[in-house]
Amino acid sequence: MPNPSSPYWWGNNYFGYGTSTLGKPGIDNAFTTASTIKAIAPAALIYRMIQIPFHRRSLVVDSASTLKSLLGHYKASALADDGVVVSTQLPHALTAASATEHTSNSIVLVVDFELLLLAVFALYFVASRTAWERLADVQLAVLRGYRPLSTLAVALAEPIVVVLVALPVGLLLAWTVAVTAANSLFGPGVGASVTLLSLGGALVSGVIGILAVGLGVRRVLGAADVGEASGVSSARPSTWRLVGDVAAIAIAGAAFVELAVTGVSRRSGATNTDPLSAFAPALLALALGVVAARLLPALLRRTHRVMRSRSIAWVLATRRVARRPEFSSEIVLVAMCTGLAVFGVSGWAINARNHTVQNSFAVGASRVLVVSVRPGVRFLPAVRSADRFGHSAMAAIVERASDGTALAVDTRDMTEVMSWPPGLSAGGSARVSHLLVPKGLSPAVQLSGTELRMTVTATVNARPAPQLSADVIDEGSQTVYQVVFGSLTTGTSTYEASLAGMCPASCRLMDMAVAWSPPTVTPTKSGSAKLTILSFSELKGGRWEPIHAGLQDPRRWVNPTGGAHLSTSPKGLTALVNLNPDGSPVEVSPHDVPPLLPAVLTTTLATYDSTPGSPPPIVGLDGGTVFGHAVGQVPALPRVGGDAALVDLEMAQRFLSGPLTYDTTEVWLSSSAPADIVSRLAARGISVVGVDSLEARGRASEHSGINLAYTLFLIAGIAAAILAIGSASFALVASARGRDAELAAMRAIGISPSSLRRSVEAEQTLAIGTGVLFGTGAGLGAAALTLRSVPEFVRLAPGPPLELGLPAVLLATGLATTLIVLSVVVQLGSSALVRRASIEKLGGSLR
Amino acid sequence: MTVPPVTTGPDEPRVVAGGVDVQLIGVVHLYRQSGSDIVALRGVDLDVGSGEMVALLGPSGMGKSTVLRLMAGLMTPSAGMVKVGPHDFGRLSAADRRALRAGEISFMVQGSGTNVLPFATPLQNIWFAQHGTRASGKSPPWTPRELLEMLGIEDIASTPVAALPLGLKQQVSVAACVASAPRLLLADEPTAQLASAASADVVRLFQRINEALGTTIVIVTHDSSVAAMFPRTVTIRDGRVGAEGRLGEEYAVVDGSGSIQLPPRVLEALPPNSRVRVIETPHGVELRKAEAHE
Repeated sequence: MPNPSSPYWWGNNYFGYGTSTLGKPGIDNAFTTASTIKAIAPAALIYRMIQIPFHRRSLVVDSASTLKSLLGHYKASALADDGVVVSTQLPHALTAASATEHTSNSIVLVVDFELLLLAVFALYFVASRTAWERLADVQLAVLRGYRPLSTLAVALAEPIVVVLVALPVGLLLAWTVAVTAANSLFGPGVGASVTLLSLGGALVSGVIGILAVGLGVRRVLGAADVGEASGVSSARPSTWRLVGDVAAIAIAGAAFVELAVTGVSRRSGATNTDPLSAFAPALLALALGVVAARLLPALLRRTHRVMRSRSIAWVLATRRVARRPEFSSEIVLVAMCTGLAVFGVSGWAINARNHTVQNSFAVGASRVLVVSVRPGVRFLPAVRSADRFGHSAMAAIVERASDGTALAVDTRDMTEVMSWPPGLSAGGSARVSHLLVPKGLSPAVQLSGTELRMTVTATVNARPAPQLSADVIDEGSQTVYQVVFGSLTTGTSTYEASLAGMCPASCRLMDMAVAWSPPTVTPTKSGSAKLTILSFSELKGGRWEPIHAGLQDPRRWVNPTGGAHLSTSPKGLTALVNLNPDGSPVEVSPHDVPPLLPAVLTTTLATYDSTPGSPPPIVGLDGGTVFGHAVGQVPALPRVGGDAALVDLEMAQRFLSGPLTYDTTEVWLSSSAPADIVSRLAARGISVVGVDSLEARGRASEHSGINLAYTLFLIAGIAAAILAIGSASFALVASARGRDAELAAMRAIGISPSSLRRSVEAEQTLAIGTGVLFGTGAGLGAAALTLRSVPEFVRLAPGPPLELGLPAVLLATGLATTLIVLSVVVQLGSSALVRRASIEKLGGSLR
Repeated sequence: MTVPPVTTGPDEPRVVAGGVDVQLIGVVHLYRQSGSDIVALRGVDLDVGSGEMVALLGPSGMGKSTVLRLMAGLMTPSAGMVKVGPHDFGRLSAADRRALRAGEISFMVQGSGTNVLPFATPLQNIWFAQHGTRASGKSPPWTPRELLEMLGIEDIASTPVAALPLGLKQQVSVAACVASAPRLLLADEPTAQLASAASADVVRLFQRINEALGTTIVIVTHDSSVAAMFPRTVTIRDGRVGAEGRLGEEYAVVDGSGSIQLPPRVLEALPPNSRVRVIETPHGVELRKAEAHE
């Protein structure tokens, strides 16, 4: 048998479960040569493992199925030919990678679809807004007897050329951006290349763009009929436009009905995705934009009739917005841009926040040190003393077993150190830490001397005289020792017992016991004893020092085994003991251990252990089972996830019935932990063997596919905001081309330039403001309703609840910035527009 | 002005210059509006001979432009017949009328900038105007430069139209309109917004084209000085042909229903609802206002 006190074993008894059936000790993992293994174990118990290196670029997710198939063949042949069982984690890793890739692709598709829809609508807007510029050309073609196809060519040639030129330019631009940003976006060593897929995507976008342009110029072809009175379009929507509006609203409505009925938008915490969630933001923005574009003119007409404003600027603006159809498409475009910007920024921010929460939850704290504790060191007090300022370092022990995991932490520091997401439990970690330590418990009776002394007045009615003993536990080595004081005799006597070699640092008194001596007695024998413990002291440094055990306080002592009646008096603790006939001791214990260990259970563990009326079993720190008392339930616990129980470390230690198996010993640190904490721990016999930190996890997930996909959300949001600003600028420029004469004529009839400028500002403010308002509503609605249905937000693994609250501050800042820029654009554009329309220019055209 | 040789291939059909006669018989035209129709023409009878130059006069809204658009085949009359040469527009499809505008008929709309591409040069504009002819498989009778030389405005051949003064711009418009040597040239207010000198230049251009090619030319104008340069004027009033002037002499016109529009000055003596006696005399017909007791 190995010597547990050998330095190799650090004094821990790793052989508590005895020896293996082969008569050889069950040892822990060791790294040694094959010949050594062969020498100590029979071949049947040896598992061989071959590690095969893979070149990073030699294996991609797409080839996973091929690899799995090959591995299957190899496993079968290895088993058949050599009797070798082959196993590898590679397929699992590939499956996980494939799932991540699928999720990332889904998110990228969401963003791509939104951007494509936006680009198409922007093209439509630009084409329809500039259509009147080509009206004269098309009319001329009709006048000159051009055939319909030739007329169409005149109408479409310019925008199609623009789209065709924009395609390769856009592709080149995208490629340049991808190459430039590849290092920071995808990580070092990852390149960007133009693939057939991207070429195909560009081609499809081009075709859709040309179709959008075709739709945009269709009005010109209608208006180019120079025969009948034509040319002035009205705000009254055409039948086709009405059909389009109804279709857009109906599709958006259908999407939301689908989400509400079969998707997850109406259920919190659901775990299925809905592909429709990808379409919802754009559709909602489009539908709301259409509603806004139709409502605004009607509202303005009614307002105009009711208010009878005397402001010429306001009258001009409202009449123009109410009557000109181009404002409708501007409102829809701005609404779509704003909606997508709000949705994109919300998606990115919510994802970033949840990733931080999840990473923080996975780590458990800002930093977690996996430590090794020198034998004899009391882990919990050592960590507390190393934590110079308090509440920045928390001792934790993770005990894993097949039926669950126990996470025992120093709840004194839990609130400040542990990552406990706000939605994880009611009241947060402060309430949990409070619940894990029951009230009314006495402080532990700690012993640190070399001898114990008790002065006891006893009346013994038993023969032979019963034996007085005490059980103490060395919390450093988690070893329970029995200290025997000797036979109890009638009268007042002083009893002494040695603690030599038992408590290198200190021990905790578990109980004092009275039992037949010797223990093997006739079962029918009866006897009793009345003993009053007058004093309790220990020998420290050659002097006897009293132990403050509260012998006069009745609340500090209990009789867990039964068989004794306890009372206190100023003299001390009196116990009237009826000796057990079976020889088992009658114990008197400090009231420092609750009857059941308070624990917060994860939902899954609580479900497994849900035997009505019985306390849930929890994995004890010694690897055994401890019955607990569920004080709370959470979906998952920090660092250990599901199937776990959270207990107070100090409490859990009092439930020890054997040595700790010390699955994992950790020190959790808050972000404010001092820099010298590691050296201070080391000075107390706690050495760091591994570090897990939020920062490292953040770095690791920085270039993950999912994070990258959500970065695209942000990029899409910014692009949409820029497009909104661009479309407003373009609307002004487009207005400028055709409004010179109109504005100059107004100036000629005496309307002041400032009134005209205010009028242009007011009309743009009406259009842009309505678009921004409805777009913001659409974006917020889409984010609130559908983000929980977007892949990745639907978590299959247990974890903290998703935080889907909208990033109000970020959105408000972004919207305010966009509105300020838009306001500046509108003011500058309006001024330039009015300045350009001078009366002199009007006169010049009459020459 | 002489017509330059046509530079086409030996087998290509060539556009033939010359005029065409135009007939409007009992033409009525209504503009359909929601709620009510507007009667633009109430029975117009008008003959324009081949190679003739006619100016349509009359107050605004009396139907002059409608007459011109009907002649161009841009629309069909609500009733009556419009014939250009052998073509009865009531029997032609829109495509056939479009084909006529690609060669035989040219229409110059009102406004200096609307008949040309402002960003293009005169050469390019003429090429653009000839496209309809080329698309129908025929060769234009001249190249753009030859036409500009013929019209005496070759020095602005390569200047973008937008950069030209209004008068020259209108001359380029006229050039573009005759680019395919139409047999009927219709112009709506071709001298509007032009100073008198520029107006005269444009009219002289019409006259040169008429003399050189024999093109039938009908214009609409408000300008009496412009009208005076045309050998024949037709005044449209209340949707009918009200009067006709030839060589400075104005005549009332009897329409198909026997109605006659009295000149405005006569209306002072014979206000509406006056009863008159129509008395035939050896020199003609005399209208005498009936006495109150009659």
